[in-house]
Amino acid sequence: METKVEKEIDVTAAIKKRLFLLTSTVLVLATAILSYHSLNRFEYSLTPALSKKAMEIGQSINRDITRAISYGIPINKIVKAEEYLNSAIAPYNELKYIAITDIKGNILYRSGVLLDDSVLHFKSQEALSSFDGSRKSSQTSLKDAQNLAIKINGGDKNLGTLHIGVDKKFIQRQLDDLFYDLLIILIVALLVAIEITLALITFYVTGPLDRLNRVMDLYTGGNFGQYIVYTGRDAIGSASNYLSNSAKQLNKYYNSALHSLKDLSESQKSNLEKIGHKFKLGNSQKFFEGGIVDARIPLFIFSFAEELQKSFMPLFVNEVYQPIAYLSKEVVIGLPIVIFMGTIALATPFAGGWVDKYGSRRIFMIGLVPAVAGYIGCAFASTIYEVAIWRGMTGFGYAMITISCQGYIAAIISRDNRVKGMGVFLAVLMSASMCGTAIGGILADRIGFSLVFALSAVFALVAGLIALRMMVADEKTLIPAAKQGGTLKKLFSLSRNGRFVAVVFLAAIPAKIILTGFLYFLLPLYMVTLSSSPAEIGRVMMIYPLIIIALGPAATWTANKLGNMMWMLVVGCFISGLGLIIFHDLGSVWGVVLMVVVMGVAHAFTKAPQIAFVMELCEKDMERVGRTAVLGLLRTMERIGSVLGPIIAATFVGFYGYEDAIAGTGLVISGSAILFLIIFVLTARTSASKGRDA
Amino acid sequence: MKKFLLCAILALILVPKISVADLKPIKTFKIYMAVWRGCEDACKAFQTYFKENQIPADFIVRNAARNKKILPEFVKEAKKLDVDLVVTWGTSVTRTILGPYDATDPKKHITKIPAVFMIVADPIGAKIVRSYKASGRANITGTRNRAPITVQMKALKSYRNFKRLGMIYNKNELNAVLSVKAMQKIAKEMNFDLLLEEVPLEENGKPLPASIKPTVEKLAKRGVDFLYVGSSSFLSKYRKPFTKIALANNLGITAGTEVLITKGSGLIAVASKYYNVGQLAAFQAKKVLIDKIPPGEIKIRALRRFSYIINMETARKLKMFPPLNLLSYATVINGTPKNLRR
Repeated sequence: METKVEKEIDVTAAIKKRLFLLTSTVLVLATAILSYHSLNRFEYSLTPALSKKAMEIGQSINRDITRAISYGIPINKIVKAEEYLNSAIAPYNELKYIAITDIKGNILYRSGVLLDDSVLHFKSQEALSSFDGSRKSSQTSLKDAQNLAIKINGGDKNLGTLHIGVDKKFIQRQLDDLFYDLLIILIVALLVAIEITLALITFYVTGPLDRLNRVMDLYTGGNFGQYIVYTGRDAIGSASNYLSNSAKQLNKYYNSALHSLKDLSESQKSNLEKIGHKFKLGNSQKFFEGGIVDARIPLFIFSFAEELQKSFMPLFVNEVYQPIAYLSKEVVIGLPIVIFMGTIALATPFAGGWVDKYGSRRIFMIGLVPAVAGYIGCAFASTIYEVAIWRGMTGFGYAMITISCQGYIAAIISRDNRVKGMGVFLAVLMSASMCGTAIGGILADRIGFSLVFALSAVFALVAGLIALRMMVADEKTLIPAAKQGGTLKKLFSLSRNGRFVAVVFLAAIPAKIILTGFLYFLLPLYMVTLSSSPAEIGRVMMIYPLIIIALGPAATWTANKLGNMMWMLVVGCFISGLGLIIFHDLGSVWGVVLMVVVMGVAHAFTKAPQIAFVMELCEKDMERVGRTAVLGLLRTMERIGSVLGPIIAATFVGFYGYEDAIAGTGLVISGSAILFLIIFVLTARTSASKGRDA
Repeated sequence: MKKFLLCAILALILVPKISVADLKPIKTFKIYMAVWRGCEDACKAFQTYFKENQIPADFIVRNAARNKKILPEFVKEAKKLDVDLVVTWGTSVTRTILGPYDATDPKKHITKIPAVFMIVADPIGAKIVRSYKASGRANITGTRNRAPITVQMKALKSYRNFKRLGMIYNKNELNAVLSVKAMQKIAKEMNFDLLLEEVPLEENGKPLPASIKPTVEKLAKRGVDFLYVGSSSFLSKYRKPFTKIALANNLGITAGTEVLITKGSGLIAVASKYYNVGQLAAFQAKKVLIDKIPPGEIKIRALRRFSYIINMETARKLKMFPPLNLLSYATVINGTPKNLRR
C-alpha cells in the first residue's frame, strides 16, 4: 500500500514536469513567432515613418532657407547657417547629417557626420539630375544613410539642394531595443507562467491528489475521523467525495447506533465506544492541509507590482525635485527610497507581531490599504514631499504584506520544511523583483511613470483578491503569543558577541548599502547620463536577481563543499565592491552591466553563507534567545544598510559626481570587507582558545 | 442706455463674482482717438481692451491720413464734443494735439481733457513729457515702446558681433546726454568700445543739419562697426538724410526707435509690438477713467517684450545679412528686393 501511495505522488510530480515542459514550449514558440512578426512589422513601418519625419524637418529648413533667399541673401552668403543646421539636427537622434549644396553639388553648409560617399553622392550625376522635371525631392540609399534631397528654389530658379541623411544604424538600434524588450518579456512570461502553472497545478491537481492520498492512508490505517471537502466535479472530486461520503456515512451510522440503542448494556456500549475509538469515529472533521503555494501567487503578484517602479524611481523623483534646505539635490532624490526602506525597517517587527495575533490573511488585506493608497498617491504626486509620503505609505503596506506571507508559510508548513519554505519565500521575491523591474522599465518607456504606478495599484489589488481566495482562514495561522518578556534584553546581550556585531556592521549592512545605494539609486541616475531609457535601465537592473536565482543552487553547493563560511563572506563582500571600483569609469552601459554582474555573483555566493556563519557564531546565544530571534535581529539590522545606502551614495554624488560616487561606494564595501577580515584574524586565536576551554 | 442695460445684464450673468460696487451704473465714456494712418493694431487693441474689461465706451476715431494740417480740427472737435479722454497715436499727432511741454497753448492744444498718448518713440525727445516717472503735465500720461539699452545691445550682438560702436549726440539735449552716460556703462559691461561724436552747435545752441555728414564720416574713419542712435530729436527729425549718409559710409544704424528703420534706411530697431502698446495704453486710460487717478500722476509705462525690426533693403546694400535663425522671429521690412517686386 505504502508503495502505491508513493507511486501516485511520483505521478503528480510527473504531471507537473510534463505540464511545465508543455507550457514552456508553447510559450516560447508563441513568443518567438510573435516577436519575429512584430520585429518584421516594426522594421517595415519604421523606415517610411522616419522618411516622413525627415521630409517634415527638411521642409521646415527649406522654408527658412527660401525665405532668406527671398530677402535677397545669396545662398552662399547665409549668415550662421551651420549654427542653424546644428540646432536643427540636435533634437533628432535619427538624423546623421544635414547639408546644403549649391547647384553643382558643392557643400556650402553642413552639420552632423558626413562620410565621403555622401559627399561624392552630392556631386554625382544621379543626385544632380534627380530634380529634372517637376520633382521637388528624391530619396537615395547610401552606405550609412538614407539620403533625402530637397530642391531649394529661389523664385523659379533652382539654387541648390538640401540633403538630409537618416541614420541607417538608428533603425538597427531601434530594432535591437525592441528585440531586447521582447526577450525580457519572454523571460518574464516564462517565469510568470511557471509560477502560475505551478500554483494552479498544486492548487487544483496535485494538492487534491495529495490530500486524497493522505486520507486514503488514514482510512487504510483505520482512521475514519477525517474527510475531504472538494467541490470540483472531476475524477479526483468524485473519488474524494465517494470516500468522504463513505467515511461520513460510517460516522453517522456509528453516532446513530450510539444514540438510538439506549437499551444496550454498559459492556456493549463500551465495546462500541472501543470500536469508535479505534477507528476515530463519532466526531469527524474536515481534513485540512494548507501549502506554501497558497501564499506564493499573491506574494509574487504583489512583489511584482511593487518592483515595477524600481527602474525609474530616482528618475521620477528627479522630475518632481524641488530644493529642501540643508540637503543636497542628490540626497533629496534618494529620500523616497530612504523613507521606503526606513518604513519597512521600522514596521516589520510590529507587523510580525500583528500577523501572529490577527492572522496572515487579515494582515495581508489590511496591508493592501496603505500599499495601494501609496501607489495611487504616487501616480498623482507632483512634489517631492508627496512622493516621499506616499512611498512611506507603500513601505508600511509592503512590510505588512511580505511579513504576512512569511508568517503564513512559517505557520502552515512543518518545522522540518521551514528552511525550504523560507527558500521558496526568498525565491518568489527574487523572481518577482526580476520580472517587475524589467517590465516596469519597458512600461515606463511606453506609458509614463504615473500610469505605471496606477498599474501597480491594480496588480496589488489583484494580489489581494487571489490571497483572499487562496490563503486559508486566519484561525489556522494564528500563533499563540510568545512570551516576549526579556527577549529584547536577551537580544541586547548579543551586542557583547563582538564577532556577531562585526558580521552585522562589516558584511550584512554593507551588502545592503551597495544594493540600495548603488543598484536602486545610483544606477538609474547614472544610466540616464549615458542616455539610457527606463527600459534599458530595467534590463540592466534585472541582471542582479537573475544571477541570484540562477546561481542559487551553485552557491549552496559551493558553500557545502568549501565549508569555510567566513572566507566566502569576506571574499564575496570584497569582490562586490571591487567590481564598482574597477569598472566605475568605463562610461558605458556595458561597464554598468559588468558592475551588476560582479555584484550579483558576489551576493549569490554570500547570501547563504552569511546566515550560516551567523548561526555558527551565535550558537550559544541561540540557545538563550532562540534561532528565530537571532536571525530576526540580523534582518532588522541589515535594513539599516538599506536606509543608509542611498544617503551615502547621494552624498558621494554631491561631492564627486556619478562615476567617482560609484567607486566611492565600492571602496566603502571593499574596505569594510578588509576590516572584517582583520577583526576575524585578530580574534581568531582568542576565540579558538576559548573554544578549547569550553 | 439699452446697450448699457444689456451689458449690465450680461455682466450679471457672465460674472457671478461681481461686487455691489461694480453694479453701480458707470456712464458710457466718450473716447476721442486721433490716429495718423487709420485704426491699426494699437488703435484696435485699445478698443478691444475696453470691451474685454466691460468698460462701456463710445469711440470716436479720427484719421489724419498722414495729413498734419487736419490735426487742429481734431483739437476743436474733441473740445466741442466734450469727450472724457483723448487718445493720440504717433509722434506727429501727439505733438500737434497735445503740444510740447514748454510751449502749450490752451487754444491750440488739449490742456484740460485727460489724454493718453501711444506709439511715441521718444516722448522726452519730442518734448511731450518731462520724465518717465510722470509726464509733468496735469492731463497727460502715455506709454513708451523703447527697449532697455542692454536688450538693444544684446540684439545687435546676435545680428553681428561688434567691437566698436559709434554714437552721435547733441549735448544740448538732456536726454541724449543721459543716454550717452547709460551707454558708457553698458559698453564696459558688455566689453565693447563706445566712440562718441558731438554734433557741432551753432551760436543759438542748435545743431545744423549740414553738420551730420562730417560727423558721420569722422566716425566712419575711426572704424566703428555700427552707429547707435538712442534718443535724439535732432537725428529723428533729419532721419532721411542721416540714414542715407550712414549708408553711404557703409555703416549700419541700430536704434531704439523704429522710425529710423521704417521711415529711413537704418538697419535694426528693437521696439515693442503695436498691438501690445495699444493694450498698455488702454490700461493707462482705465487708470484715468475708472480708478480716477490724475493723469499727471501716472508713470509713462513700457512693455517688456519687443520685436526685432530689420530693414532688409539696408542689409542688402551693406551686404550685412542677418543670421538665419534671426529671420524666423524678426519683423522684416522691405523684404523683397526691388528688382523682384511686382
